[in-house]
Amino acid sequence: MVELTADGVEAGYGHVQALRGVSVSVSTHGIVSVLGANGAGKTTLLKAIAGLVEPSSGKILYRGIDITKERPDRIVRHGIALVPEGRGILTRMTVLDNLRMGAYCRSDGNINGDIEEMFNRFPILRERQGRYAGTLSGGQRQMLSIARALMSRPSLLLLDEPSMGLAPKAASAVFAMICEIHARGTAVLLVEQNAVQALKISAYAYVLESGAGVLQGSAEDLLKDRAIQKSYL
Amino acid sequence: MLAQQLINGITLGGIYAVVALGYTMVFGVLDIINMAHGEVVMFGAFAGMLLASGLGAPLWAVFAGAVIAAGALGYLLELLSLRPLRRRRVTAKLAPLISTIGVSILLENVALKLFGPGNHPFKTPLSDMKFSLAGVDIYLVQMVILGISLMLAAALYLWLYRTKEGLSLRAVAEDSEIASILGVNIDRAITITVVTASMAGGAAGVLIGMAYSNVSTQMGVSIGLKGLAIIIFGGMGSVGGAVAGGLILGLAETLIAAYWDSGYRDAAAFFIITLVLLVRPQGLFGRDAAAMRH
Ligand SMILES: Nc1ncnc2c1ncn2[C@@H]1O[C@H](COP(=O)(O)OP(=O)(O)O)[C@@H](O)[C@H]1O
Ligand SMILES: [Mg+2]
Repeated sequence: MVELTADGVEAGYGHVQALRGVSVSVSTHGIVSVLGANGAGKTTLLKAIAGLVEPSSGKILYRGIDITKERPDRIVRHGIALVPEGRGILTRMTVLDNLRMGAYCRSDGNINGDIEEMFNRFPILRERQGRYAGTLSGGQRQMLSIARALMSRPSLLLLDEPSMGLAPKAASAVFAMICEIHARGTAVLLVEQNAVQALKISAYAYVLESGAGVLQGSAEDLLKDRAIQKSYL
Repeated sequence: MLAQQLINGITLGGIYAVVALGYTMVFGVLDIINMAHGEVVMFGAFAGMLLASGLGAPLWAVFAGAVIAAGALGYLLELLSLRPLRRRRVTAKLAPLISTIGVSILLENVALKLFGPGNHPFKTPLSDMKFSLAGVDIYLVQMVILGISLMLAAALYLWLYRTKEGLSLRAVAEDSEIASILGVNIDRAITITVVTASMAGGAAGVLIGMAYSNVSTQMGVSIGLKGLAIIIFGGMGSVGGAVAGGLILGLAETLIAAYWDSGYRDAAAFFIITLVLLVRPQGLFGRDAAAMRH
């Protein structure tokens, strides 16, 4: 089922136009990746979907609902969670408070049960639950950021370069975690510079260049594509 | 004698702590110094004065009236002078600072027009009641001031650190963009912060009226400067720093006036700022720069 479609999205910062008509579509069947060099507009695309940047034109539909001009705090309540570039954890709060903030948009009674589940999936977070999140290592921060996003019980997870700055082993653990999350039924839109690893776990991928889509196709095809191999692999 | 001066100093310090809490909350969440806070305190004091001296209202009603008036003023401050700047995505921190300076000048002049110049007596039923304990005179007013200051500080602390709303305000304080993608309505969080800080300011205004037995339209300036001094040496954005800083300044001023020269009283704040910042540039309770970089 198609979860999200972005259609001809243009967005920018003041005079800088970062997206010049980008279209992507995400379904529950298979992880979707957005690849591209530094400055291509990947982060801006995720920010536009999450409501942090308002598109100047184009449309973003989530399960048929137009969310193009919605505020970020409303979008997370629709079921879209963002794991931001650079993790975005709240360093002056404890690990546990970060997880609680992840459930801020919820009012049901299962929040403590979900925190317990996150502790089971990420045992290091249980160990460090009372510590300030600023004391965690890079890999631990990424786990916390993902766990916090899951606390909102999203049906679409947006991940912005989750492997950035991680040692190969920690990066592999993150990619494995993303596969597991997707296998449990959450749609995933993954932004990465690490194109090989991203394509290996994706079903479909888009390539951005200077704010525009230049290539798209099944991950399998893109892995074999000469142009891709030359510039990214 | 010393015991008497200590009691006077702690009472004054309690008032300063409540004033500083208003500054520290707004600074924590918005990263700006609300230069109109002293005038909000002044309006709270006048609302209390009208109820107490004018209508002879009971103490709880005096506080309620001052808190409501100051809270309403805080709401207008956010709605008319801070929110429009956010809407236009003005990112310079100087703009809201200047905006609040404008509001403070406006409020002082409106108050002058409304209430007139000079001192206005602030009478409460407790004004002259006192008792002696081991040779020390304790005014009932001092007990009320101290009790209410401590209660307000404790309530604010519990609200910020033990409730879901407080959790979300601390998240906004650290990173409003992250807080927003987690579901926090930023405008609402900022409004709640400014209104709550202003309500505490209204209560502080009544405490000042009770302590000095009169109020004036210029009181906002000096009380504002002291509140600012406290959050600078207590640590910007810290609740503990505001309380400790308030008590230190209250005691220092009282002891300097009693044992040295009352002319140096108002210099106490600046002695302390200089002294503390030489040793701890981030203030007594401030986060150190290394921790903030993460
Ligand atoms: N906050 C900002 N202000 C101004 N320009 C920005 C801002 N963020 C990104 N840009 C610009 O927008 C373009 C796209 O950036 P971004 O979406 O971050 O790319 P990517 O995530 O692919 O590296 C770049 O040219 C970048 O310089
Ligand atoms: Mg990026």
